[in-house]
Amino acid sequence: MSEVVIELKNVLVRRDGKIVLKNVNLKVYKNQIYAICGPNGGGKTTLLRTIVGITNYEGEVKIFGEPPREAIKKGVFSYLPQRSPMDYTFPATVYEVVMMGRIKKMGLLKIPRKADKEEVLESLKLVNMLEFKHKPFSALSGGQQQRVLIARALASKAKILLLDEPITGLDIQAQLAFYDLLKDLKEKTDITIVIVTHDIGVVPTFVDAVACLNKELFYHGAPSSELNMELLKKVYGTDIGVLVHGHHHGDT
Amino acid sequence: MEILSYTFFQRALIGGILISVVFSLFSFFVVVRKLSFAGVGISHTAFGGIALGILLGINLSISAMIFAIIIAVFIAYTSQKRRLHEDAAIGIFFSFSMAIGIAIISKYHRTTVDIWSFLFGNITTITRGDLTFFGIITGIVLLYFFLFFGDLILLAFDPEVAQSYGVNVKLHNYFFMIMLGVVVIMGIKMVGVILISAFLVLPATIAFAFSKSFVKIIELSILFSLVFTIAGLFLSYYLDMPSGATIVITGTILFGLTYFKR
Ligand SMILES: Nc1ncnc2c1ncn2[C@@H]1O[C@H](COP(=O)(O)OP(=O)(O)O)[C@@H](O)[C@H]1O
Ligand SMILES: [Mg+2]
Repeated sequence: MSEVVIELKNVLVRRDGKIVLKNVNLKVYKNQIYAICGPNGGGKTTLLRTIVGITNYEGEVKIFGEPPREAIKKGVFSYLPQRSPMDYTFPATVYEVVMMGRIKKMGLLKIPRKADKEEVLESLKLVNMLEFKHKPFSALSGGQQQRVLIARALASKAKILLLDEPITGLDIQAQLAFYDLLKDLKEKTDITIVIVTHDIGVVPTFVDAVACLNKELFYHGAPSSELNMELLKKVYGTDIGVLVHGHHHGDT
Repeated sequence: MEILSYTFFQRALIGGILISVVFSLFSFFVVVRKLSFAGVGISHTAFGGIALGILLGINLSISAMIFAIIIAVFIAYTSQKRRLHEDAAIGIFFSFSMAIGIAIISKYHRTTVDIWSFLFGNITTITRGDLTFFGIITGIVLLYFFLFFGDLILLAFDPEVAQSYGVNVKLHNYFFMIMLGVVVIMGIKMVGVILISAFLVLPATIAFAFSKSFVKIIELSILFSLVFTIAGLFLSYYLDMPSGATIVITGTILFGLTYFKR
């Protein structure tokens, strides 16, 4: 197996004294796409925040062998939070929003250079939003805003991409395009991706590993393998349907 | 324009230009982060510092600045702790500080001190020393924004992502409020404790009507602020009105004229 990029050992997280995550053990290898699903309130967002080091935890978290607070300084993370805490009315153009993703790559004075500008335009092209570059971000539809934020995450060229429910608000076409984009990224770069899917709906087949999270993490393996219905029952507490869908293109 | 040959007017112009540039930079962040009440709180608190400076016979700018920085840190602290609502904390603190100021001044009143000029500003009191002081502060503020502009923008827009890039939210919040405390002292000379929020709120608010790009908005804020400050200074001379009030009225009229553009 290749290099371990993210490793959690016996991680425990409390919020307001309540245990939100416990016994979490997780290993994500270089260039993997790791999907995490689970019910609302299961701790998925908390897990991503733990990985990027913006939440307190007990246990061990290692990013490229270092604690998150060290790794963060090197700009290894590109994190796309779940919709909510940001100011969607903020006056910024699409171009300016994506440029924010370059902040770690710019020099001391944070003045965009040619490489930054090219990267921004390239990322906008990837999410099919190039023609909107001079439009105000606040005037876009929810789905378009989400694509711009994905472009910002891509523009940062970080080694680890963490996506919290990234396809929420996208229409089916944009969702499929987004999955193609992830697949492309995996093939063409050595990026490592952790993706949280808001439900058990769709986990594309090119994902390398799936885990379900409900306070504890239940590792499930590659999505093509047989589903363990007992496991899902444990996570969701009820009988549910199919977890893993084959991707389109008839490749399964 | 014989007026330009008066030293006091030249100083007022230079002071006005420095203040316009500095306050416009803050204005954008104060408006988008909804910190205008914090600005009001800081400037009013500085009044207590002025009174204390009079009492102790120390430099009033220094004592006012110390008070302003204390409240600035306090505001940043309460906004992090959430034990007390930030607005409530500011409201309590600033009226307390003003009350103390008034109490001190009524007890130890000296005829040489013009309270009126601290409340509403007075350009004729700007000295060479003040201008040097303003120049230094302007230099520090420009350096601050040059170094941290990207971080400040990201923090205002998307704090969660800012953190994931290693931007220290807490430190930045403290630092921003402290810088705000420092520049407020500049504004007090010009428009006084009471009118200062106009300098913090008007520039960006007027500029918002003209663009959705933050870079352009900030550029325009500086432009509009220079326009109403300089125009206000000339008007105050020709109409024989107090400078601070005239600048604020001019700025508000500019806001009114552009309001319907949005
Ligand atoms: N800021 C917070 N303060 C207190 N509790 C929180 C906070 N954020 C999340 N929680 C709690 O942590 C648990 C997990 O939440 P979260 O990680 O957002 O789950 P998910 O992303 O899977 O929906 C929930 O029970 C939630 O109530
Ligand atoms: Mg969540």
